[in-house]
Amino acid sequence: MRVFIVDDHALFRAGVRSELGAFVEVVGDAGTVAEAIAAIRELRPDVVLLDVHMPDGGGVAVLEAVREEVPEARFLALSVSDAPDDVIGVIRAGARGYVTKTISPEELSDAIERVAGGDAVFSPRLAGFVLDAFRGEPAAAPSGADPELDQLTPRELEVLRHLARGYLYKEIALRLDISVKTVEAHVSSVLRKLQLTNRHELGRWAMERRLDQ
Amino acid sequence: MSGLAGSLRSRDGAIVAGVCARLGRRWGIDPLLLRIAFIALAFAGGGGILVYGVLAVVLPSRLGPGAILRRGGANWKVAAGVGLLVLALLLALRSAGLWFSDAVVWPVALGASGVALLWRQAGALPVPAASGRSPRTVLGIGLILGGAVVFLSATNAIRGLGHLAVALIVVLIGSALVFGPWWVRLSQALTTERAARIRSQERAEVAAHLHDSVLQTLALIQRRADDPRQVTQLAREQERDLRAWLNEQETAPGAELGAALRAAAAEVERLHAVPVEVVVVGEAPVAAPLVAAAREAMLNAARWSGADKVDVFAEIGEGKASVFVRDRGTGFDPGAVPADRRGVRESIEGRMARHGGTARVESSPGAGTEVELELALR
Repeated sequence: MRVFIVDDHALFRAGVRSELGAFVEVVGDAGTVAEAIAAIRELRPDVVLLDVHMPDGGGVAVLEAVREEVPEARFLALSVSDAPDDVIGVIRAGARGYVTKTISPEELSDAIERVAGGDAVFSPRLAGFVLDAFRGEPAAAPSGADPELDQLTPRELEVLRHLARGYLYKEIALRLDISVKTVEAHVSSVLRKLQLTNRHELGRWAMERRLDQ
Repeated sequence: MSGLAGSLRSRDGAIVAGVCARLGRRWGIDPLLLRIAFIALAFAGGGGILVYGVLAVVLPSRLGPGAILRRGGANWKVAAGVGLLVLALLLALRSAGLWFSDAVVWPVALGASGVALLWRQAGALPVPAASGRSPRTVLGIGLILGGAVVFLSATNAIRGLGHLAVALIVVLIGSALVFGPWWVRLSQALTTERAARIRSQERAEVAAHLHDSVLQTLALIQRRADDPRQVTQLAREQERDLRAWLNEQETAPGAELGAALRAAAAEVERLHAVPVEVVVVGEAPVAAPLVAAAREAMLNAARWSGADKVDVFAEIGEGKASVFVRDRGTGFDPGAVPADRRGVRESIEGRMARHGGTARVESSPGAGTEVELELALR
């Protein structure tokens, strides 16, 4: 598996590189948005570890530039930020998960594998944000919108609550008496809804993110 | 004018002999209204001067601390009443023949009211420039202009006014062209200067905070570099502090439960050097028993489980709050806890039950522990 690291802190890139070396092949890294876009186009990695906060538009700018040209690359957001607008912004731009930078090397390589396999990776914090975003009444849907996207099913809510409580996929499967594959399917479905819904809470977050820049 | 405005407040508010001030104080009426009335009456055949003189002699010069000057909403009603009384008196004097001329009395009455209103405004508390266009100012200017127009039309001077008006407008436009750019530049410079001052103040505040917190911690970390456990703890504590500072403005009123849980987690973290991750969904005011029980559960997890991390998840909604405290530590057999161990039984289960909530402890050796707390919110 070929991994690419994007982060504007050289020390952090070096640290992740050496930590992950034992688990995956790190094919390159970049410290700026422009460098990252050029290198990802050329190297076509499987997974990109993407910093949310960078000068010149941050992770969202990288995602928007290469998403269509390099469709096989999956993105995992990695950040110290715990502001929902940052995190939700990069997920809605196409990242398949979000983990905080304090994550252990084992957990990080596990998350990379999961993302490479097409699954979503939700840290407890992200699960909390999503639960917050889908609370209350859905937005007044404009005509043509799929109302199903605005709501989570009871099962999806249950899975998210377990993620927020710090349970792993296999523990959740055991507790809810379903297979790990089913848990993954629920999480992926939540991710899809998160990216496609036009609930106003998410719109608000995305808007704040844009105003920030 | 400023001298007059100043004397308005001196010597118990007296201007000439203090008649209006004293009457106003005694009747609880703004003396200003009485002054307008006396001036108007003075021009209406001189009656006002006579009455004023008599009152100045007759009225006791010292008044007890009786009536207090009334201010605020009722003022307008009193003003209207006094105004109508004066109008009635003027009309009565007019029909009685004690009258100079229509061309003098009406304009003076109008103008005096307007001037009094404007001066009154200027003599009051310092008025910020932005509030210059209050209804009172507009009314005052309107009254003065009305008085001027009435005077001019009554003396047939308004016909010659046409040329004067044209000249005046030309002069005004000319000075706007000359002074306009200068004035705009001045106000822009003021705005820029103000923004720069605010920016530098904010910058100083940020610098002060960073100096007190982050730089101190970094210095400590350099000195303790040989003790990884302490370095981690220092870094963690500083991180929490910095995040709290960054999110300072975001803690809304009514969202204190999440803040209280975070504070409890920080305390446990400090005591036992185990990271406690808190995720809160929803908002509610503090529910003290819930926070105390959650804190106890966090303490137990940090102290006994041996886990390297504790997860706390709180969800608030639909009239109840749930808190989950989970660790991936050694776990224990809840049935085998001796009855005299008060931690779980008293501080968590007993406390929740006393406040109408529930507590559930799920644990087995080797699989970690999860404490679930639930409390109905009023």
